[in-house]
Amino acid sequence: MNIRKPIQIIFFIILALLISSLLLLIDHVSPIAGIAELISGGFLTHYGLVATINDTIPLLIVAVAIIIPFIAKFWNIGGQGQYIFGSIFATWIGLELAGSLPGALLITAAIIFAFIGGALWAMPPTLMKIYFGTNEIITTLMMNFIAVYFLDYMTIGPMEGSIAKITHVPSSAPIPSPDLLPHIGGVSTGIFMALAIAVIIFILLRYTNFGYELKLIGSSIDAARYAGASLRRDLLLSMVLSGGIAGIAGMIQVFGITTVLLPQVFSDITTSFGYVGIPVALVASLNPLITIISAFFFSGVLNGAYAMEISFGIPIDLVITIYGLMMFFAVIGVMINLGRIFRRSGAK
Amino acid sequence: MMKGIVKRFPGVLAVDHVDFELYPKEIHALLGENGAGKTTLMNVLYGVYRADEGQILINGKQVRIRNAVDAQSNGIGMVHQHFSLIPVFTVKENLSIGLRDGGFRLNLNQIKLKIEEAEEKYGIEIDIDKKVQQLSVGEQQRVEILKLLFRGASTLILDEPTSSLTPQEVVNLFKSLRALQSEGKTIVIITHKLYEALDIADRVTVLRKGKVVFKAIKEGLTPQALTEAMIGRSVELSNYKMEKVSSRNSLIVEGLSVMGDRNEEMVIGASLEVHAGEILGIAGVSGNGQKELIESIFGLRASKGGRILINGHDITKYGVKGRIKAGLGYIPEERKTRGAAISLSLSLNSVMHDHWGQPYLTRGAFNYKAIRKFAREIISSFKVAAKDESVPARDLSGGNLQKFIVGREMMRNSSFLMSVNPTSGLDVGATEYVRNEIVSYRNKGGGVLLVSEDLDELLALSDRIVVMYRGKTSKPVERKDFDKLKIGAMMLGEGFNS
Ligand SMILES: Nc1ncnc2c1ncn2[C@@H]1O[C@H](COP(=O)(O)OP(=O)(O)OP(=O)(O)O)[C@@H](O)[C@H]1O
Ligand SMILES: [Mg+2]
Repeated sequence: MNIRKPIQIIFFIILALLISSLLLLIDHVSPIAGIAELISGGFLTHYGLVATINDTIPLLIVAVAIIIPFIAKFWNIGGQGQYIFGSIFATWIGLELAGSLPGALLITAAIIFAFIGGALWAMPPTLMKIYFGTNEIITTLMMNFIAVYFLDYMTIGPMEGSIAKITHVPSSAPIPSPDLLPHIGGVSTGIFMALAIAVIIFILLRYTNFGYELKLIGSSIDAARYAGASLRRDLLLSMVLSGGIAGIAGMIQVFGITTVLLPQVFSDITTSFGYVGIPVALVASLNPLITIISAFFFSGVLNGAYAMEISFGIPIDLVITIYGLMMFFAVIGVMINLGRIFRRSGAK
Repeated sequence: MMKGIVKRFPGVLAVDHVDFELYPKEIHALLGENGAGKTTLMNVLYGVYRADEGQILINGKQVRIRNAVDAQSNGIGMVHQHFSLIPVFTVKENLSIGLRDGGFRLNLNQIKLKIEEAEEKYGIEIDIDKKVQQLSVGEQQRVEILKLLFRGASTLILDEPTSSLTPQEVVNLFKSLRALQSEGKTIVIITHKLYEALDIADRVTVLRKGKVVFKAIKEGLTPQALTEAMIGRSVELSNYKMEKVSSRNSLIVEGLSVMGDRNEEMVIGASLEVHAGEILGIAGVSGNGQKELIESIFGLRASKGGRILINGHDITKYGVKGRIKAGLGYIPEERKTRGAAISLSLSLNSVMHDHWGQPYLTRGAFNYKAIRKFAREIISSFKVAAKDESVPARDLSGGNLQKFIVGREMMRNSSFLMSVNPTSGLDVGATEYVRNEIVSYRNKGGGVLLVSEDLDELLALSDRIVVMYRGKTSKPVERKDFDKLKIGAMMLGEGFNS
């Protein structure tokens, strides 16, 4: 990553803040106070920081998961569905085995099942790509839609919890509390898993032959074949890992934060980490270590936006608009070459 | 004309205060060593790059060319070395892109008329209903030229247009260029082949290290004078010393049949044998199955029948990796799409055929120190002009990238090397160097399968030559029996019973 991109990202984030200021003005809020609240509410207050770190966990994991096939220019848009299936599998095994296994073993089992669930859900589009050449962007996206409704069905059907029967809010039964991921000062220990995953995938991509072959495929398929890469194996493995890791994010979310399987969480765009993970990974130039920063940053912006909502009574839709603007502009910052545009228009 | 043009890339001064004039209706050859700045200079004229300094004047009036659209509206068109046609579209559809005729879409019939007109005027023949991916390189080039003409270009820039053409196609191209000239077009042609420059050009400009070092009209010019201008010395064409090597290792192809892209049999029962310590040349007009043969030997293309053996070991069922491990190396013709992954660094490109084992992969982890060292060795031994091994391969000039690929394949361990047009796009000095390296690879006991469109190159380097015609291979011709006319006749089918 060269110096140009970070500068551009900062430039565009400032631009997004300027536009947000306008929106705040329209809503009769002082932009300076609003942005100060955004920053302190997301990053500086104790409550805000804890929430930001907890949101960073699934966002980081899913973004890192997406990076793996993205390196090979295999566009896995299906992180959301894989994330959902990981959480379904993890919850199911958690409810089945809770009490019969000691906590640590149960959590291990849940991680494994979450991985399997996510990886399985990633397979149909991958195999269709490998054997029939179908466009993965479409197929992975479709798999998300199916996953969302399947989750709905599970929580009003086979996995419906007793509370849901009363409240009519679809959800599963809660995982018994001794079997959950512990918290330290409010922060889920899932953060350690998330950081470990980012570091492991960074090493995998940089130091292994598999990572190298993904880069070759991303650069030129013909060059990759010439270099002896096994395209099918690499693609398959990248999607098994991608889906599996996205699935683990689902497990950590259920076992660390929500404690029940709650479809609502997966249909709200701000918590649809499978989608939000895409810009987060792109802003980080598909580097898993930089993704730690970008995931943390955008989680902070989200929580700062919530803080603005509470402090100034700004409508939730407006603060989420601001969150979306920040992300949109940051992505523009990595995708274009500002220097070139300036030189062009300057010459006129 | 271009005045005082300067173009810098990070760490490289690619074009250094160049004045370049172009007169109407002339054919102008732009020459120079690899990395001299020819492509960059023309890219400035075509608006791909913006000059850091200097101006462009047309008929005495200063113009701004910021992109290809600007260039086109000034009547300037360029055919890059790598074409920009859409492979799955037909010729007609490709030609209609970007063309507008009052309304939104151009009537495809009108295009047909225009093409027929062009055919008549310039002798550019083309089947417009074919898909581009089915065309030969020469045909694709014709489509590119037509595209520019349709967009109203009066000045055509051709970047190394002949480097992947057959001699016959070169003749045709030059005929068309002369016809275009007499229709009033101005043409710039970049080339490394001096006799071509002397054949077609009215004037030449030579660049060296980004500066103009020589300008002249054609009259009275000799290849020697041009070579000296280009590299500052004259190049002795060496007499290659072929030493006798005794080894019983061999690469054997037996009755190989291979299907082509158009689903027709392109290689039909081909057989040949490359011994260790020899160079086996494959002569033939391109499109007679050489490409498919080589790809199939390397495992990039499935074979329909026949066997391939290395040192008696059957590798027909192996994948690419297995064949590389069995001792095969390959310098492909497609340097930017196959021979290198151009978005990756030279370091990563240096281990394309060794990324699975020692010393680059130690205990499952890439050893970047060893990888960078190897890349640096290639860069220094083959005099690749590159800032360092961390630059992406796409930053190299065409010839320098070729030198890097050749260097990689020569310097790694292999016992047989397949090489397709290894010196295409190289300057005179680099060509000599690469040829000498091929010979020394042979003298050290390696076997070389050399495919080249340049018959002189084959005659100079090969121990034996096999001719390919319509997918079939001839019996090998021994070096003592080399006869240019006879082999030329075989390339046209003599001695092949169809
Ligand atoms: N995009 C780029 N970024 C950095 N350096 C570049 C870039 N393009 C070209 N260069 C450098 O500029 C110099 C001139 O390159 P150019 O492609 O113009 O050479 P050339 O004369 O066309 O050579 P060749 O005969 O090998 O094609 C080379 O040193 C090359 O490495
Ligand atoms: Mg060039």
